[in-house]
Amino acid sequence: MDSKNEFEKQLKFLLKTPQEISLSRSHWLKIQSGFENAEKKKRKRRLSYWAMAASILLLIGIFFFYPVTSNKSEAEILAQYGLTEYNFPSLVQQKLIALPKTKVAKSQAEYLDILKNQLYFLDKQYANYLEYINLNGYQEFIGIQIQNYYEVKIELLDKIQKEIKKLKSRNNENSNNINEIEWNI
Amino acid sequence: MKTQIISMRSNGIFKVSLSILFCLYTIIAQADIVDHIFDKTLEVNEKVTVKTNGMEIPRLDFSGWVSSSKVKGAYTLKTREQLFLKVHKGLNINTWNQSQIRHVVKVTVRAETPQIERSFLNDLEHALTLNATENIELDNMLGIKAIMMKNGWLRGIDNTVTTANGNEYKLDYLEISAELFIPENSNLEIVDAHFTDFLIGKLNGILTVELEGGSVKGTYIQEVNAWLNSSEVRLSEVDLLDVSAHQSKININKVNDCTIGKLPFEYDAINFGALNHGVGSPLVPIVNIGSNKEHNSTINKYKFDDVNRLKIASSANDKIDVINLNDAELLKTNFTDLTISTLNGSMTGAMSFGELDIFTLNTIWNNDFELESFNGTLRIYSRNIKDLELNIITNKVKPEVMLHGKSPKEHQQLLNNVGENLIHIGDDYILLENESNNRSTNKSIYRKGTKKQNGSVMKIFCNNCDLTIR
Repeated sequence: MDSKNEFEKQLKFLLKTPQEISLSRSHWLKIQSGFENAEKKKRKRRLSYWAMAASILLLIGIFFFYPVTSNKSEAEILAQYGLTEYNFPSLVQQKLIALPKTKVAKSQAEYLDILKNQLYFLDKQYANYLEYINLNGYQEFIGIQIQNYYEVKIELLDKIQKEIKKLKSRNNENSNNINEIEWNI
Repeated sequence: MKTQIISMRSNGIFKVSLSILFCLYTIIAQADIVDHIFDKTLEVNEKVTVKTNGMEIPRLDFSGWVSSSKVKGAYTLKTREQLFLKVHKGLNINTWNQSQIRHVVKVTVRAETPQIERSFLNDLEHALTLNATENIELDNMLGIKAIMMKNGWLRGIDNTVTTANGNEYKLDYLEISAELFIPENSNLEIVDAHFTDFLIGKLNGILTVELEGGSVKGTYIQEVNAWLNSSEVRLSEVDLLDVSAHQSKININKVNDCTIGKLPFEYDAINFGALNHGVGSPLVPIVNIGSNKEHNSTINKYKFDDVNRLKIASSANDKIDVINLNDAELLKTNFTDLTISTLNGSMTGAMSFGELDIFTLNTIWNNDFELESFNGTLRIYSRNIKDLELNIITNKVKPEVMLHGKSPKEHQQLLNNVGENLIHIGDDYILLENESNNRSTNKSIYRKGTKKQNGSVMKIFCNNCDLTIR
């Protein structure tokens, strides 16, 4: 009997308007915004949990699956193979700077391009060595190849310098040479 | 007090027994390493063709920490300070007077249990099959197809080796070295070899080699067909050498017939042939470590003591040094420097750019010398030129024809000879400035209708080139 009365009481309360349950409008808005804030906080908390979980997963992924060997700088690779003392990169840089832009006959430029392509070929070889190191670690024989690469490259740059010098002196003698174009590395 | 002594004693006993156990464990762990030598011999025809690879690392797949121990002459891989893989890069190919092939491969292996080791070795045993008599293929890695290494932070080491039949084995250590014995008269094909050093015995057959980043050393080989990239060849004697190479060093004492590079139509034919051979052919590189399939010769250093015939089919920026050369034919050379200490026979062809130095022309000169140079530098040091015909295209280039005398008297004698029969220049007019001192002279030379002596004519067609004859 008591429970029936209690139920009727609650039903009546629920069917009442805000005015009827004697709440002011401001009170009502406060309650409403309180609910909304709580909802927002919940959402934010949920988002931060997801973000944390994702970053933890990402970190785990990096630790477990990403190969640790990564691209190293030229200096680091030379140091690894004990080739620092030869100053190869700075020698190459000096030789490259020393190579001037020059004007040669079109037919001569086509020939000089053979040497330019050999420079590209050597650089491609070097890129392949780096790839090999990434895949196989620092094998001793790759160090020998890298040393050889620098030595050949320096010789090739010297050769280009020499051939340009020769061409310039010949072309100066044959001053009436026609159809000259600019050539550089 | 008594109980304390007992506990101290028991503590000591515990420590001693622990160290004994540790020693035992170390001994057992050491004993786990299994050395196995696969040694197979097969009767074959004397002219058998043996095809082998280098000491090639198969497909490698890893994640985590991998390093190498930089052991000379070996490929090594370490996972977290523990050496896992060691493959010896030197391969001795011995030859003998027997109609037999012997393949010896030493494998050292360590796994968690002896059963795994035995099973792994059994798989390798099956891969080593010698059953043909005319064409034999030998795999020095015994069919190992792939190696997978996985390790990382808070994670165990997982090294898996896949054998030819697809079985996977978890191994802790693997070391491989090989040696080969083949008949002296057989043909040898080294295919798809990378970073391997071959030492080959005397071979009365054909060696076909495609090699990147390795070396071939040996004594006598009858015929060598080589495609090299960043490699080295050092041999005593070769009858027939045909080489296409890039950034390599070739050093051979004696060659009868030497061809450097191939003409485009020649290597087109080869590539067409390669299509028929398919992958694995010596002409189709699988791993392209800077691979360039062009069959020409670029940026190499050649050194020969004696060459009978030298044909340069296609060469760009090579350095070729020959001490004694009989005949040379230059078909396509760009920027190549050719240095000949003594030229005994003929020289024909053309060279663009690059330098030619001939230090001595043999006195029994009786062959043709007909050379065209475009933008090149020719220097010929000889007193044995009987007749010279120059054709200069760019008339402002001044060829220097200089005579040297060891003493002022000898020099004067040479000067007296000039104009009699020493030098003949074609119909072009060349103006040379006279310049003389005690020991040398630049002589302006122009004589029409000079009576030629017996012997060959040296003809030089010089287009914008530097010419020095001394």
